[in-house]
Amino acid sequence: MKKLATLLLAAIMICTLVPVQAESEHPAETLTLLVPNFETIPGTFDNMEKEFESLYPWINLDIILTSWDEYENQLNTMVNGATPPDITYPTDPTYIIQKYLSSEMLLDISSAPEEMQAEFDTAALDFYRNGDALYGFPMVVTPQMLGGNKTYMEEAGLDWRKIQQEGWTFSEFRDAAAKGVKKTGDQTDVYGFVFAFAGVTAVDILELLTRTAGMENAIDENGKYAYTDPNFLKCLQFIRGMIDDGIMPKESSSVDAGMRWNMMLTGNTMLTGKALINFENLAKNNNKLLEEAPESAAVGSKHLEYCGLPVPYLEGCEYHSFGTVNGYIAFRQVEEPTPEHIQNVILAIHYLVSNKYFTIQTVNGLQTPVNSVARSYMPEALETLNVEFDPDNRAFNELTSAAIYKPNLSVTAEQSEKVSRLREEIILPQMQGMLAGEITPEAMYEKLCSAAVDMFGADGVR
Amino acid sequence: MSVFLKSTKRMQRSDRVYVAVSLLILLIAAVVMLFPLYFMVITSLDRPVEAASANQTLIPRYVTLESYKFFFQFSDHSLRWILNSAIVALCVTAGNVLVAGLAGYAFAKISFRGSRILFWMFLITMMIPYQVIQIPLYMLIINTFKLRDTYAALILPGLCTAYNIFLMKQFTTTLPTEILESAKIDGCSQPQIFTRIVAPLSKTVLSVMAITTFMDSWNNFLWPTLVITKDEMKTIQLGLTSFRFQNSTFFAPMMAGACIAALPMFILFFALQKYFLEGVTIGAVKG
Amino acid sequence: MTILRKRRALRREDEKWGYLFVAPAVILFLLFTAYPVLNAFRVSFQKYRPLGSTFIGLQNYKSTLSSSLFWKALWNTVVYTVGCVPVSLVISLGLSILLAPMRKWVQTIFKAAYYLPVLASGVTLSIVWLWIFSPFETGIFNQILGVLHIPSQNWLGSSKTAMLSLLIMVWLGNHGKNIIIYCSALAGIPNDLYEVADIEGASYFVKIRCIMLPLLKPTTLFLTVTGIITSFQVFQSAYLMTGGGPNHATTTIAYLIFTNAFTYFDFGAACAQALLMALITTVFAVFQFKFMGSDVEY
Repeated sequence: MKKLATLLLAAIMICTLVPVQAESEHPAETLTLLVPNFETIPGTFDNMEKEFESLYPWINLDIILTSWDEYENQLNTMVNGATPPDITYPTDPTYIIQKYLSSEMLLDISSAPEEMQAEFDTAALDFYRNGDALYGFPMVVTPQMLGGNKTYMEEAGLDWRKIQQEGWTFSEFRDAAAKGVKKTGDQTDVYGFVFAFAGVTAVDILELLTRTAGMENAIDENGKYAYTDPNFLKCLQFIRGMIDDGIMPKESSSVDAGMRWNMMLTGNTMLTGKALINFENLAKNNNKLLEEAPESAAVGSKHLEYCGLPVPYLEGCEYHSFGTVNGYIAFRQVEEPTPEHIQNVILAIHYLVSNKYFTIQTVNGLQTPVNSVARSYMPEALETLNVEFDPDNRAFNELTSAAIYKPNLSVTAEQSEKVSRLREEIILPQMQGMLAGEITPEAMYEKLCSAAVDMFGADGVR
Repeated sequence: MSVFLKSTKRMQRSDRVYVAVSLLILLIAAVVMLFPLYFMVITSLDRPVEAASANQTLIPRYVTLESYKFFFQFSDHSLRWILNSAIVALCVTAGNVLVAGLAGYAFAKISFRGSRILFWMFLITMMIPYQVIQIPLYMLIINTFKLRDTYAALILPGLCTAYNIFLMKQFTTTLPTEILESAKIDGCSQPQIFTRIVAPLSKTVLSVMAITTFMDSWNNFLWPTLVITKDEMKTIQLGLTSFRFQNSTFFAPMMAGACIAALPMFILFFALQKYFLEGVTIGAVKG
Repeated sequence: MTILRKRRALRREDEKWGYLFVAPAVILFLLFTAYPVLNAFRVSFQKYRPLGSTFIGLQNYKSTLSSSLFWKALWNTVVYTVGCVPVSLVISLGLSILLAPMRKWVQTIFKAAYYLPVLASGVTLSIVWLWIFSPFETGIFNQILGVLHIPSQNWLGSSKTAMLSLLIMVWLGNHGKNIIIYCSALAGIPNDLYEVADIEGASYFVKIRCIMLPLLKPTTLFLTVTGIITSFQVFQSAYLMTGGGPNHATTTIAYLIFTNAFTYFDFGAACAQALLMALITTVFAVFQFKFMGSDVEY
């Protein structure tokens, strides 16, 4: 009897030790998702969540919404505080991936099935690779460009259609912008070109220009640091020259993102940057307000016919536009990730880049998703499009999206840390000084070269 | 007060001129110092439309509360921000009054072994700049305790400051010990002494402590910005900064937000002016 | 029970309550102040990584002391402190002296007016001042200067004027606290001293120099020391308005520590810098007390 009881007891104990997970195929899991609020159509996120819930009920998505400006800080705090989001939507994947390579917190999802990976345009998917690892999936290509006021350009005798199709060199750009400047006495009423330089966006323009000046990646195919190239100096001189000529405002260093668009609306500038595809939307909306409810339109704004324009390229270089490939990347937590966890993450990310609701948004933003499943929703999405878009701009958008540069996939963690350091400690502060007219472009270039040689060694730089 | 008036106490013409000139200078100083606040209020009454700096004026052109509405509609949690600030500030204030009150009294009037050492320990930390504590505290709250985005993270570190203990101790020392002694002999226990005798007598100091602590907590920006990432847990200061970063051209609503963030403190100040002004002087001026 | 025994029992009873009353404060202190301070020392000798730190000895200190940015930040902080503290003291003392002989209700009104800016948070004020300092000719500050025929400046965008802008913010607004303290101290000076001075035929300025200033010395010392300690920790205006720029013109020590800690997540270096900063502040404070406080009983 006693023996039987002991056996029974042992059996019961063993049974309770067997993981209960064997019962349900999928243990419940919560994934945190850090996303800047890119919802343009109200209800998109809610609809997406509901559909996700029905497809994958064992995964709970905890969505943390933030603003575009605070996104980087927030992600930084979370990753370095060892509590990163499981999935996030970076503003620039190459930059984010390279930034966090050394923290070892990125999650490799290259174990995703072949068919899934084949759904994506290879060029776009490459943006999420580094070495052998795949850190996420892309959703849509967002090229960055400049914007222009059609009316002003036509007044100045500039053929904007031609520029859209063929592009313009640095000097052509400068001449064109100069034609747009209108003054009364000493006061400039209309500037030729305005770019957002305030605070940390000071180096944004360099990102655009280096791509079209032969320095596509900070670390080029030969593993060398590219910004010591003399073309970099030409870019700096180009910027400074325009301020000196009065084409760009001398208070440029204080022009922030909001102001650069506002000045377009009020007709204070002919060209603006950087511009996004949906600026056309914004212009049309404001025009509508001006007609229907003028008090709600932006103060002092005028009717704006908008056209997208390419970034000028340096003579002798091939045109490659700069853009981001928006999508999602995955992070790991401090605990070693289990295969189920990785599987869940893959499923979640795949859903996020290919679902109907986001596709509708993408299409309404005049873009094309890079995932074939998402593209299958496009006809339906196109029907919801209720704004008339300019065919020239549409053609131009497609042209620019196809000409995105190729990222360098073999950058090491050490290299990317050095690139960041140079960017934050030399390029950014020096740029601020140069914009304020206190440092010459030549001095800034010298400083960058010597700092780069210090960091990478004499043969580590171009 | 009779610095300039001669002891004869007769107002002469030179004195009148003097007083007039002083008033003028004081008035100009007040105008200059209040100017930013004036600008803030005036601009907040403007319409909530996108505007560039080309539109700054000193005289209000419109008077509307639309911008305030805009600020509240900006985020689902705009009202919650104010609530969060209030909750945190109230908890921190209550905590400080209680904990620092008891501790200050104990250091002043109760003799126990080690009280001097403990008190000096608190005193020394008043000298340590916040930056030294900031980072390890962050690691403690976020990594070790995993309290990101919680009220606890906002409230716990500030629950009792060395300064408040110092304040309470300085004040309580001035209370006559005989009253306490006789209470003890009458059989009162220490808690009873505190609640029945010390606390009522320390009403001024405790009120002052409450107000300054509330103000510091309400206006605090540095610590919340480190530990709060979720929109619904932000305090009003964080919410205001968020708004600013996202809508840099909507500057009437931005000023409206700034007014909203500052308004509770202004209201409190006008209601409890006496305590505010007194609170500033305690510890700074002898006697 | 004899009186002696009763007293001893009472004292033991007291001790128990004493410990109990200070217990919450001490626990909070150990947890949220003492432990972090000790940890700061430990972390300053490490290189931080989210998945585990490594010990690197004095490297953080060496790289800090050899980094030109650290010395620049220190210099910026000193400039800011020197620009703030004496000016604020002079202005608040001056206004307090003018305010002191006025009637009570006049004093209260002015005190409230001067104190209002102190009530508003750093975030609020930085938003307002950011607009006031707009660099275009239409910015309020530039408009006012335009009346005086001074050309408009790129206040926060030029490294020449950025620090000046931050200082102007303080000069034009932040004296409420000091004024109230000085007023209170002035009120504490007994009238007889002035009467004696009158009898001796002293003029107004002599009265200020020989009566007020000496008797205000403890207050001045207190305000100087606390002013220095607070100015040294200045961070919010740099963070919210200039991002430490342009070209590190407004990078103060506290800002540097913050960026090292929460942008680069180099906790080790940040802690090392914080400890160095604490050292400097303490030395300053001690020096101040020795120098100014020799004849002040406080």
